[in-house]
Amino acid sequence: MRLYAAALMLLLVLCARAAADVPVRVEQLIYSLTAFNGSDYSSTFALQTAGTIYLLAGTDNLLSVRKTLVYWWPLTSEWKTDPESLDVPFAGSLELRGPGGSVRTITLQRATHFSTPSAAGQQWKVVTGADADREVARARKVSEDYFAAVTEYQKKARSYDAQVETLGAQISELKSKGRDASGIAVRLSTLARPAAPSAPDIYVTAPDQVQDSFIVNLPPGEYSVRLLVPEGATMEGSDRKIIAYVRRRTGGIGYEVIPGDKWTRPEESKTPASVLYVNGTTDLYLRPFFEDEVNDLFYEKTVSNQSTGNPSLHRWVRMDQVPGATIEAARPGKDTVLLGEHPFAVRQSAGPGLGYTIVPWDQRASATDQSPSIVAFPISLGKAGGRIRLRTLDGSGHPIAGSERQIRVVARPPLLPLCALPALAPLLSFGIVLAARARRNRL
Amino acid sequence: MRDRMHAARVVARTQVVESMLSPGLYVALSAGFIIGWLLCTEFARAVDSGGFDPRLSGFWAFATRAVSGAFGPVFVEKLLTEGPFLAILAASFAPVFLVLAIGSVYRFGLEKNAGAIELIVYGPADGTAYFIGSFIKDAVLSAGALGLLTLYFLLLAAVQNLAVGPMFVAALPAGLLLALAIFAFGILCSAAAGNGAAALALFLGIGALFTAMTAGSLSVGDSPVRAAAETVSAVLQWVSPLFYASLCARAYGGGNALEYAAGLAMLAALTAAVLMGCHLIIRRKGVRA
Repeated sequence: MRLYAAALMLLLVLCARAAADVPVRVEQLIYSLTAFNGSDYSSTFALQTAGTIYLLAGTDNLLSVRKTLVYWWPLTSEWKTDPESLDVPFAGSLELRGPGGSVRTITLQRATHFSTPSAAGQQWKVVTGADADREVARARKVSEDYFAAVTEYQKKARSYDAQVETLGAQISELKSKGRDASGIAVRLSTLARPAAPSAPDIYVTAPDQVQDSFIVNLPPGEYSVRLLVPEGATMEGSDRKIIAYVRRRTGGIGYEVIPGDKWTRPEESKTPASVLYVNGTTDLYLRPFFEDEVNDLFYEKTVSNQSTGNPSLHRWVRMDQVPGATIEAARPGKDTVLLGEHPFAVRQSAGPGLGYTIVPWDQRASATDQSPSIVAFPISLGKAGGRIRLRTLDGSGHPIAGSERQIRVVARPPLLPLCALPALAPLLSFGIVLAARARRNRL
Repeated sequence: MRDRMHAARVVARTQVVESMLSPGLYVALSAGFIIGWLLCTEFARAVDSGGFDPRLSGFWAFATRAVSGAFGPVFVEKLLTEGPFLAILAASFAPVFLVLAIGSVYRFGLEKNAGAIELIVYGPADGTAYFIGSFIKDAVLSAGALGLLTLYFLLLAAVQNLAVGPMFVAALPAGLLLALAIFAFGILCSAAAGNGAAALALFLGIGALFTAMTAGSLSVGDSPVRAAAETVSAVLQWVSPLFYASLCARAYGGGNALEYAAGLAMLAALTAAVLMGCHLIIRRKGVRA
């Protein structure tokens, strides 16, 4: 009986705890933001308590004002919205007061955004009105056509597999009876495997559904913003500040550095003065990219309005790949080498042991729908104490400013502890000074 | 003026010799070397196949986590971007700097109390010559210590194939001028306060205020600490050497050589202004305790 009572108590305690963990939802007027961060669009929102919205100046950003439920999610330590329970977008216009008291009004527009492939990566576009509807319809058609082609391909592939199986069975049967199966074998060899349809490459990011948004594209500066409802009154709680900021520097070169033994954990060398220290146990695979320098806090807040950053510091942010680049590598006392970009495949090690190897990609030995795991510039590091100077050359072979880097293979010689001995030199000097002084005093 | 400078040189020479005969500086320099060696070796130990990974070293894991928590990961990234020596320079120079600064402040007050300075003033020197001599002593010994530490870092860098990069080189004049400006504040405290203990307390208080102000303004955004620090900074930053040093760092990080040079010039100007303040105080108050 006591056992049952204890179990019941435990159950009640657990239930009470479970009930306490349900996040409390609060109704708030938020700004929903699809903000351009320099290379991509980030979806975030500004809570009612968030006083400032950060936007990259001179770019199209999609804003909307809506009433929704928000709750604190302790697992990720952030506020989340619950649009399924409540999501009321407000019509009206945004009134922005900028530097010098200038006022501009932005009205709602039906808009969407998408990106198309470019030599450097992707090119973002925001389209409005009928163009937006057309683009979404086009994307839907491309997607439907592709899925229809995939369905057709799967049907043909199943039919092909069935034919191969049937003919194979017939050949086996004929052979088991000692009869000639060459006719069927010829038929089997002439069967063509259906080709898989290639994925559409019109979009990198296809347009999402068309939504009513305020398209905000501002010159640099600080603005106050509020929502005016269609009747002309100000929506209570819609006052915010917008900081439209610019990049401090553009066109820098960063490197993604993929160590051969940790290809899922690439490092980035972003600052032009940075030195990459490695222990030299594996080859490196490099990928140069363009980068822009922006204020740390502003950038973080653009990506997620709840993030934090350091407003006193600027950081380099990765933008696009460098198209048609080559890397020049120079070792002291050796000829400069031009590194080429190559595709590689990552092969899991066979057997129970974990691990993998990176091998050159062989298109012929791979399935048609497979692609390389890495496309990068490989570089062998050599022994400890080695030093390699790198710089990126553009498509026409000219070095790109700010792309210079050093890779150093750190040495840990066995006599390294001896380097601590100079630390005793000042104390030794003091001993000598005291001894000399004592001797002089004796004389 | 020429006589005053000559007297200052003589005082400086005497004080340098006295400093060389006491153990404080040697111990501090040894401590700086040991700190440098330890941190440098730990840094090399934390380098793996993909780069520097602070988690591989107890010290660097703790230090980067603490600094990152206060100032953000971008601060740590910038601090260690060309290697460990910028951070190590700050840690290694700290003991020498503290010994010199605290020693000078306390000694000035002590000698003022004992009437030693008053005695000198009866001769060819005056109070200004005395504190300029003390300042020159601190400047010479700091520059010497920085030079020795740099030589030692070059040795460590050569042995472990680490880089002593342009950021480190740019930090040397900024670090020296920062130290000189703080020494000048030390002299100001000594001249203004009644005795050695009060001067030391005042100096440490001002140092703590400047440090808290700069650390607060450099902290990760949106915190109340930052807001408070920025409010105080708006008024006091113009007299803080750390503010001008941070301007130098910001300008260098942004690739603006002119602003960096202007930051150095402002540090030098602040030092001169503080020394001028000392001169005015001593002229008004005299050197009697």
